[in-house]
Amino acid sequence: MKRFLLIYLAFFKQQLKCLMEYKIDFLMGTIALGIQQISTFLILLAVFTQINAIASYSFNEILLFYGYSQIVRGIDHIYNDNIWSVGWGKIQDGSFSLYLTRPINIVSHIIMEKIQFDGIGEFLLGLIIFIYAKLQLNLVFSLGDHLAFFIFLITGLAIYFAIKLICASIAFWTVSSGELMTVTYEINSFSKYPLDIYKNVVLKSLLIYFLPFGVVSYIPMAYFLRDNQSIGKVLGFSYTSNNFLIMLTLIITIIFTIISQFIWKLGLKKYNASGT
Amino acid sequence: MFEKYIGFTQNAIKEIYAYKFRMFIWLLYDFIFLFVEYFLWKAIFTANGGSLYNISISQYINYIAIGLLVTRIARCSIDFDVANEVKSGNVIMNLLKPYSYIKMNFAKHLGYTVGTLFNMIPVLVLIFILTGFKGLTLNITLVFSISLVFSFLIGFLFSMSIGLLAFWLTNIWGLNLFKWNLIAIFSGQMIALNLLFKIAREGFNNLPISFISERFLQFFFLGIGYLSYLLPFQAMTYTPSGIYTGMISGFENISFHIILQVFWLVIMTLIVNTMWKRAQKKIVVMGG
Repeated sequence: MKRFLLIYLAFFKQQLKCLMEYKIDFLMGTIALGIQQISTFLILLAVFTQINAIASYSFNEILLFYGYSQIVRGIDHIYNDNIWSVGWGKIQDGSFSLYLTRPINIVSHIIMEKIQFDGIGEFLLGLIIFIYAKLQLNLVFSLGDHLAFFIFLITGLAIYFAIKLICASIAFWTVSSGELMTVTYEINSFSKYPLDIYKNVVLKSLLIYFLPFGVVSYIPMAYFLRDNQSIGKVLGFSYTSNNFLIMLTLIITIIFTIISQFIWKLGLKKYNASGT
Repeated sequence: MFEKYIGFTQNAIKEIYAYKFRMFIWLLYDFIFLFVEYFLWKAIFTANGGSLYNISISQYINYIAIGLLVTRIARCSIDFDVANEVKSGNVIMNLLKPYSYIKMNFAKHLGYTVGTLFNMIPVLVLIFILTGFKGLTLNITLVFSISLVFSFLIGFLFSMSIGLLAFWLTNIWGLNLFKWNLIAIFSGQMIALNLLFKIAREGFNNLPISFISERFLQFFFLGIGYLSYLLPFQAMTYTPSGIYTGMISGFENISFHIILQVFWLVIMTLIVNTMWKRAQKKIVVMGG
């Protein structure tokens, strides 16, 4: 672990130098991701000048969902961006072989190699929106709530990680999986609104059980805002204890992590075979 | 005159179909996009009793659906190719050959777009099922087609100008992202522009942010609306979609939007030509 951190620090210093090299590009990227946030905010603002609730959710409640989803997305964007390069060409041009020659775990090496500073804007705006909405809703977290929040954040990041790893691993078979990754990743933008507003069972189940982006942002915020009954309707079954939601999130996270590790290892074997 | 460019177009189409898996994935994405947008806007409009600022739910869903087609036609990623060629220095090779670099890129882009549209046929069928041909007269169809061609050309020229910027800035990744997001807001792709003006004019039923007054919000939306008309993006998406759905109607209104498209077409052509001339001089300086 200590070794891991030391290497990470060394990579981090290099990254900072790169950042200084392309200042304008960094600035543009950060502003661009900020604008992306603002555009969703604009839609909500425009709509809520006429309506006071969509599917029982008020403006501030929807902002809470949105802000939180952007926090998770932002953190993921900052630390886990290099995995894209596996799908977008590292396997195609063979530069993936480099990782095999290094004495570090391959996945940790990929993560360390790039820190995407552009994600900071995304993260900060998400945080501001989240805190604003939380204050407006007079939502006060108890100690248990803080713990739950922390668990949700970690599992959310783990689910992102697993989904991205699975999509990237597909490239071991198809040579390039960048499009698949992009499309899968873009689907997460549909989970920035509470899932109840989509009046379609297929869509809701898809976002919870198949591509669990709903578990990343819907379940955590619904946990704080809604009762068992209305969440049960979205999940497709009823339950009694509120802690069940945390269990469900953990179970889904573990399942997806195992699947992703399995597919990744399987793909790695395939790559070895074709490389020699 | 154009014969020598046809090869580039054909190659681009073949290139698109070389990756069938990729095409399938994009097709899937379009379906999901339409699916989700449909349910999202349906929820929004139903929450307000079926209409928002006198725009009916069916008109808005028409707008979203046809918007997908229009965006695909106006979308151009040639800037990515150009910037890569500039970065790697391969752009030099194109100067040695007996064709115009810009026309060659246009031929390529034409090929990509034709290929993409062909791949989109199943989605197009869904779009036409969703929108129907309600109230679509021969005249409107004609004007819509013309404005679609204009938006295709403006999209290409705009992208070309961004790509050529790589001669002065080495990395255009951030700029590219910037471009997509500006397009998303100011082209009317996310909110129909007439909705912005309606918000600015009509009274609110609800004040989303308690400490920001209605007047200020109206002024804010009016500002975005006007800004959209100062930028070229509305000519790329809003004009064709608006004409198709009847959000832009009446002889005067339609003419105004078409003239605006012609204006941007001329301006963008001038910009691209000037940039390309300057860029060529820059290559010579670097080479010498």
